[in-house]
Amino acid sequence: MTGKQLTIVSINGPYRDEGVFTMIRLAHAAKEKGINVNFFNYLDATLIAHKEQAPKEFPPIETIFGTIVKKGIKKPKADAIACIKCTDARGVTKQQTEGVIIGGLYDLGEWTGESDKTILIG
Amino acid sequence: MTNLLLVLSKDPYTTETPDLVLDIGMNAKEKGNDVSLYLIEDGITAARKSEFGNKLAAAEKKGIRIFADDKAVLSRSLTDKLIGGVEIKEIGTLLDYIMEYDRVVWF
Repeated sequence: MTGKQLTIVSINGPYRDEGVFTMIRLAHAAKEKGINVNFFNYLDATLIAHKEQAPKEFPPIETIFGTIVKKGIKKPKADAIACIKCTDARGVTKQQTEGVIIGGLYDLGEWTGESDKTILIG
Repeated sequence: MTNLLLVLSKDPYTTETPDLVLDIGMNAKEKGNDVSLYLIEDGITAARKSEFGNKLAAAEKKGIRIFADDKAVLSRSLTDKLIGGVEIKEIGTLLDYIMEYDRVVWF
């Protein structure tokens, strides 16, 4: 399956369900199988990569997600995009973890066109 | 004929989503499509031996394949509490299915 491309669109924020962990598990599996992954964080999912999260009873999602993005599931210019309207609305545009690029729905359109499959986890 | 993968992540006692998913799956199957249901996160509770589990068992008998995420099963101690016919799979298999099926819808 090497060379295939998967785009994962997330819409939910962290700490409300297991969705982010599922996304991360899929990313690790994709890496093992040589599948390139794009993350498009939309709506409340733009909080996933928000820096300096300090949950008391859960692992910090930004750290886990940031590790994946920094290591690079995919070598091109961007592994993860956060929607600018969503980050602006939540005041988190300048606090995205390293490796997350601020973009928009046109970028999602391009990724969807390039990808073998696009899924929405919500 | 289309291969349709329905991924269910919600439990059947909070919202009507699992009923909707089952309706979509049954309709698609009746129209001649190949349908699989993959239970993940809280969606695994739909396959417990229960009233909703009976609905899933009936769907499985009509040819809908039912898969369950291994970690979702283990973390909820549901290994021996599921209806028959459920195949437990690991995340890599879900990824394979996502890439291989014609249509994938995540609920």
